[in-house]
Amino acid sequence: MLLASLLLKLGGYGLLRFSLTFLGAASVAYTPAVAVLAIAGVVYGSLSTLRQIDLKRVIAYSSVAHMNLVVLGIFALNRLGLEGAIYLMVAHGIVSSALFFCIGVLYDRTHSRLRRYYGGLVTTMPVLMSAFFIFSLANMGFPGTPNFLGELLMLAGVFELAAFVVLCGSWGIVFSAVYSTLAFNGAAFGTLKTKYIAAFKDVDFREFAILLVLTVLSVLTGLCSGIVLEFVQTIVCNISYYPSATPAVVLEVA
Amino acid sequence: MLFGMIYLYQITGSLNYYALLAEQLPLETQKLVWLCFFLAFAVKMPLFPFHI
Repeated sequence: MLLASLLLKLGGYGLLRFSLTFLGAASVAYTPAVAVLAIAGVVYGSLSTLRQIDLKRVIAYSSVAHMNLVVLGIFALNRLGLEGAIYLMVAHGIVSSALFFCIGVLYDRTHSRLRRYYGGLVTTMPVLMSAFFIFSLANMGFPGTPNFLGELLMLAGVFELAAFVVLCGSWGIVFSAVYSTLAFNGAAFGTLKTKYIAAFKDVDFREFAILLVLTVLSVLTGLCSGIVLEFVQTIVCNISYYPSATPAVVLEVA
Repeated sequence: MLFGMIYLYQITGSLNYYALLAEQLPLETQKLVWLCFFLAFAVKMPLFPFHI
């Protein structure tokens, strides 16, 4: 959980801290290469998700896809893209760790994460599946969740860079809907696999508390996004004050 | 990335962030250092070829 929420963002933080500030000219020069790499990562990561048999790997590869979207947003090199990237990092931290937690609850019960063993869980664990549903919706960028806002801002920023890149990058959103739905439907709906699992227990109070906190956080950042967006905008404005910063970052786009 | 930092220190004589910000490195140097840093970040926040 910590890995998904914090350490993945460390790479994004490093990019913002180092690449955009005193290595700005090189960032501008390398932007096409990074954009290609990021798009390849989004498409390849999303497609890899579809082949996974382990629930945790599904979320892990979806994290890969989301982080590639973040890099794409950072290298849009204007304020919209940067805001979207930072907001997407915040959103992904909340939602991804919540998803890993949901799967961890399942693992806690049965010590297996294979998708074939899970089905029809909504009949026996409705609370957990409700939380899983909310965070799956968030993962696929459903409006009302912070991921949507991050992706929207990021794609709007990248559109200034090149419209074709947006076309390819938005496939990431399409694929994320595919794999999120598949993963959730496989686990929640269908028939209960009593051949493999004998007993089902819904979330206890401790797990419910954690899920509640994460849900509240994600709804708060998704709907009342102004709270976080103010901080993000302050940060993004400050990046352009450095003397050797990427000249394009200083460009006033929204 | 460590090699990038060592190279940066050799060129600029300091790793203080504010000192580095005030410098204007020539483009070729910047590109080299950027590449080293980027390889590290590509591994960290998985980017496509290094995402494992």
